[in-house]
Amino acid sequence: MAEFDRSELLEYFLSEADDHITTLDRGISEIETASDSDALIEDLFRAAHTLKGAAALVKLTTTSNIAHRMEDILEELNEKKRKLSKNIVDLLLYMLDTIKGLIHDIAQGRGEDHKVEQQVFAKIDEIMAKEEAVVVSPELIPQKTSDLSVTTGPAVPEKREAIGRRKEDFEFFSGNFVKVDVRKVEEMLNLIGEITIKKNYLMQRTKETGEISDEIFFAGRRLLKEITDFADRYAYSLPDNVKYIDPLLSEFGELEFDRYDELNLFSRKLYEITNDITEALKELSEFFESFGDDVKTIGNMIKLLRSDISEARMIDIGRLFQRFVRPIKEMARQHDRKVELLISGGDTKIDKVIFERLFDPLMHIVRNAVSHGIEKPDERLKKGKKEEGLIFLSARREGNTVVIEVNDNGRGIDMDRLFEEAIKKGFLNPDNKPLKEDLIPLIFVPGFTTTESADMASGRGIGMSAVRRQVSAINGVVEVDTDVGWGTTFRIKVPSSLAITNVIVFQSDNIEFVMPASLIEEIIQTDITAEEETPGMIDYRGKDIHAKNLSEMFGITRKADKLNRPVIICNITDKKAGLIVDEIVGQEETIIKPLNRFLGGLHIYSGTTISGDGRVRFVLNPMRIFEEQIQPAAIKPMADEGYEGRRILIVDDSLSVRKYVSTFLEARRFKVYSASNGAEALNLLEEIPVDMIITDLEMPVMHGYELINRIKSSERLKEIPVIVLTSRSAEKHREKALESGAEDYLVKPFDEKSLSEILRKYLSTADLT
Amino acid sequence: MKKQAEEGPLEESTYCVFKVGERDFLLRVEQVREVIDVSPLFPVPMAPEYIYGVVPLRGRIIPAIDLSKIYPTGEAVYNDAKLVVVDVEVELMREVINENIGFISEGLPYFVTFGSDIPADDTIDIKSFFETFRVKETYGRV
Repeated sequence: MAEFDRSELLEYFLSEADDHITTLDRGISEIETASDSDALIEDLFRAAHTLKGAAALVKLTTTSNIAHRMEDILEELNEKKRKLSKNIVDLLLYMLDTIKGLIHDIAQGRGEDHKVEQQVFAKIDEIMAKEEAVVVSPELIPQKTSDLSVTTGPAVPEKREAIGRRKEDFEFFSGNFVKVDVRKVEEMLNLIGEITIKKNYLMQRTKETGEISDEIFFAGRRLLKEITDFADRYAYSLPDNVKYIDPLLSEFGELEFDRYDELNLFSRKLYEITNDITEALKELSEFFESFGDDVKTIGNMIKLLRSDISEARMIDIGRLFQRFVRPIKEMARQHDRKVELLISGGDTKIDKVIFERLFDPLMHIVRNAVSHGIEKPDERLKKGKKEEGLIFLSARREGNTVVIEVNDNGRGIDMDRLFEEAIKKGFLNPDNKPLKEDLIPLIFVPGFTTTESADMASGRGIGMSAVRRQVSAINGVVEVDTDVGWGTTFRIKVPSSLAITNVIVFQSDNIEFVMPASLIEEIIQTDITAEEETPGMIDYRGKDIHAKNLSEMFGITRKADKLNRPVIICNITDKKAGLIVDEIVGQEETIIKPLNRFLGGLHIYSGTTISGDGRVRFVLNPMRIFEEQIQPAAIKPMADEGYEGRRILIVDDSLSVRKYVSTFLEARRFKVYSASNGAEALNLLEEIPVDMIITDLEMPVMHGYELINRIKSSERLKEIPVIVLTSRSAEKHREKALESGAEDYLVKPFDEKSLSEILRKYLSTADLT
Repeated sequence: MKKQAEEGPLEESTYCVFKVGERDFLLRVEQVREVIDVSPLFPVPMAPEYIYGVVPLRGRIIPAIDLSKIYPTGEAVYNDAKLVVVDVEVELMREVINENIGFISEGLPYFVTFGSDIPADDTIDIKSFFETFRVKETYGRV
């Protein structure tokens, strides 16, 4: 198996090397004539660099070493430490030829010829030594180097001859690879998805048709029985010997016999026809049986095809890990850290789409690990740790899920500081320190950070919440394990492929929904009466977890019939929560399509699927369903600012103002809605009843005065307090705003205290009414 | 028929006309993709009232919009309703996307053509309709 893996890796290398060699080949020949030779040299440098790394990865040391020297030369050129000359160009070409030769050998199944390295290095040294002398008098270069083949001795041209540098020579080592646009693969997968749906439909129809044919079959049997009975009865009432006994009777008999014959014939005919039908039906049902089998076979083939095609889209996650090597080095230098990077499970395959979308969140986590996790070397030594911190990137596959871990052996997340910060931010009550597992999710809350001097690159706050969002967008979850003094592990679990997802189908109020199986911990049956004790909580393995009833979310409340209902235990970032549904329908593999953009804002859905028989099912996003619960809302808010569930609308055309105010308000447990102008605000107010409106005055489409006028002239809305938040400090604006009906006026930049006061003032009075 | 003797041929536009309650709505015919049955229709829990449901159409999922819940049309009777499916090209997050939405029509819509000198009132500007009524990020957070 290991053997196979290596050869597979080698094939990837060969295909990749082909690219770099093409780049180098084309580039080196153009290097002297190129108008922007700096950019070209940089491209070449990058190609050589990547080739070096890739070759080293598959243990082709000679190739890697030569590429390394090539990289060095290009770097010198790039940094203008050396002047470009024909000699150098020829040298580069010679090196490239050697690399091509080496790769040719590898592609042919032979190993590297290690002797080549010495020859090449000797040649490099020889030419570079000459070059150095030449650099002083550059005018001499062209003439002197015009015939490199002579000056470098006979060995080189011969070698060149032998290796050759014609195009067709290196087409072979691209192996059996064809490059395909990922979108093409996507299209194929989509088509397969459609085929699967059609196949499921066919399957269902076959079953139905089979049932119909069974019914006809039984009806035929009944008919047959009736006819037989009838014929028997008739035959009994007219025994054969009648006509011979009485000649008189026989006269009637003649007539009767005619009728008998006719009836007899008819019944016989019916009998035969029914028999024929039965026979045909038997054949038909046999056909359906084999047809069903065939459809099943097709189903299996589709499955294979699907996994093959999705496999084609799969990439080794090691290539993603590789992208962190340099940034980590750079960051470690920036932050005066010593960091060693370890990678394992790099050959774990992951869908290209997920691969791309993992980069940002992983980058964030890695960055945090370097700048916040790993301590400075002297600090580490003091703690008795190795000077060099360790960051360990690993991946493994668990069923259809890929688990990626970023582990550092740094200082870990300090729970006490986290708690302090939470108190300071107004998230938590100082008298009531929650458990570690309740504290950790705080790092995912927008605007929460424990690093006081949060540098721009790696302030934890916004970042971790973005990480969670990005990961949940690909149906993944993030978990954190941390040990103060020992380090932190971030664990990302994502489906290995997005195209086909294993989902659980369930229903509530006769509407079917699905949820990706990767987000589900397990499904339990629960006695909901226990729930009554603490509303919104259920017991799960001896622990109280949050639970919601899907029907109730949709505004349907039913009475006592909810005993013993299935509860889907969902995994949501270090927490579990239960979704109570009516019935579990089953499990299936399906294609999740993104939500129609018109419905894009319905966050409780992350997509749609179409069932085998053409029914639309929405994909529920537990992350959003339990949003309030995974926010620090799970922990009691501070008494004096208990605005839980109160709704505020912020109207401002500046995104940053909206964000800033939202963060401030969300920390005080408000539900915040925002609009960028008056018209949008009015639209929103059509749908959502709010407790307060904070608005700017100058906005496009509909300005603040107009908005206030409209609100205050609407029967439905006029009671809602409107607070103006503007940068206009002149008295006349204030007067005009208050005249149009605004309750209060705040000037930007506002201080948090005055906003707090306003909240208290208007919302407590609203509370009394 | 009088020829346009005045100043060259008048530009003509064809519209798809459909009825909701007491009102007729117009759509530029180029934007209409097709007219389909409003069945099977699937409910969308938690969606705004004007989302009547969704209808699957060849692997796509088309939201069926009930205009009577947006405009004062009077009561709409959807016993014999059709869905007018339109193509929309909108820019969302700096990315141009093609999407489909559908309007419920009482009965089969019809097509009319008239010159551009006649103002086509009640024409739905699909782009701005989409922008205004698409379910926003801020909507109905649970």
